[in-house]
Amino acid sequence: MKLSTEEDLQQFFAYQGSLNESGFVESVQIKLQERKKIRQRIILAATTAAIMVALAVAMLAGYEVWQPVIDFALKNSYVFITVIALSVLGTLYLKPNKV
Amino acid sequence: MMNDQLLIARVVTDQDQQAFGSLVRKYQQSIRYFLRRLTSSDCSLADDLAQEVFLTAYKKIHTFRGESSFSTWLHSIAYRAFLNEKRKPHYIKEISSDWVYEEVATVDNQEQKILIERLMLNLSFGEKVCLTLSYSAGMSHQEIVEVTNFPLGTVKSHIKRGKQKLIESAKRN
Repeated sequence: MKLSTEEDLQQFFAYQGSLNESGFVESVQIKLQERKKIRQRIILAATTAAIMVALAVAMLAGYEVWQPVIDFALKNSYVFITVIALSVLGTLYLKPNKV
Repeated sequence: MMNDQLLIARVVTDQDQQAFGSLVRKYQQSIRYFLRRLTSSDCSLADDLAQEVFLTAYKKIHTFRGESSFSTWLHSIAYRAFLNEKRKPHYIKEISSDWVYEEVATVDNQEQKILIERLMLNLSFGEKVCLTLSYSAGMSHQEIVEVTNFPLGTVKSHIKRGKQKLIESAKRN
């Protein structure tokens, strides 16, 4: 094999043959869909778990368990609203991109 | 055919999977070949890694600032994916020339390819990466720095030394 010029090297390193397969593109897209579904299921499970915990606390301890939170929200409404707004903005900003 | 910027914008704003499919279609060949070179023609491992590269690219596409080309950005993801794979305990650290000979011979049965793989075995990892990015992917030295994070001087010396080694071993064959 002759490898003396730049052209020889370019020839040597050139990718041989074509790898443009639609099957590869499809398998990437299928994986994307699968991961999206898994993520949706995780979010749904986490939300359901959070609601169930809140309901269980309310049922077992009575609604008075939320009284300190309600008192705080009424006394310091601007702090409460700011915290909620920051949480929502933070969630939107940090939201992982789709997958 | 839409340009990369437009396709990327559609993926980021509309989460358009068709647009992302066009990007995969366009860059799959160079990424899959690059990974095949790094994995010494282990096609199935290279394709698995390539798939992960595109999934990571989809996930992180909103961080692509357009400071380098999309191809350079994808190659840097591919390079890091390979390094992560190489760190895993089950990764075959040293591939013997016999293994490459058998693999390539049974898959393609082309003497030229066998010879190329054998000559490539004489190169260090850094030399192989820099020469592949320079000659196969057509990247500039600066783009290779962006992909590998090697200092510019190291990239230049890898390319120079790798070329010398290839020329010498080609003479012997």
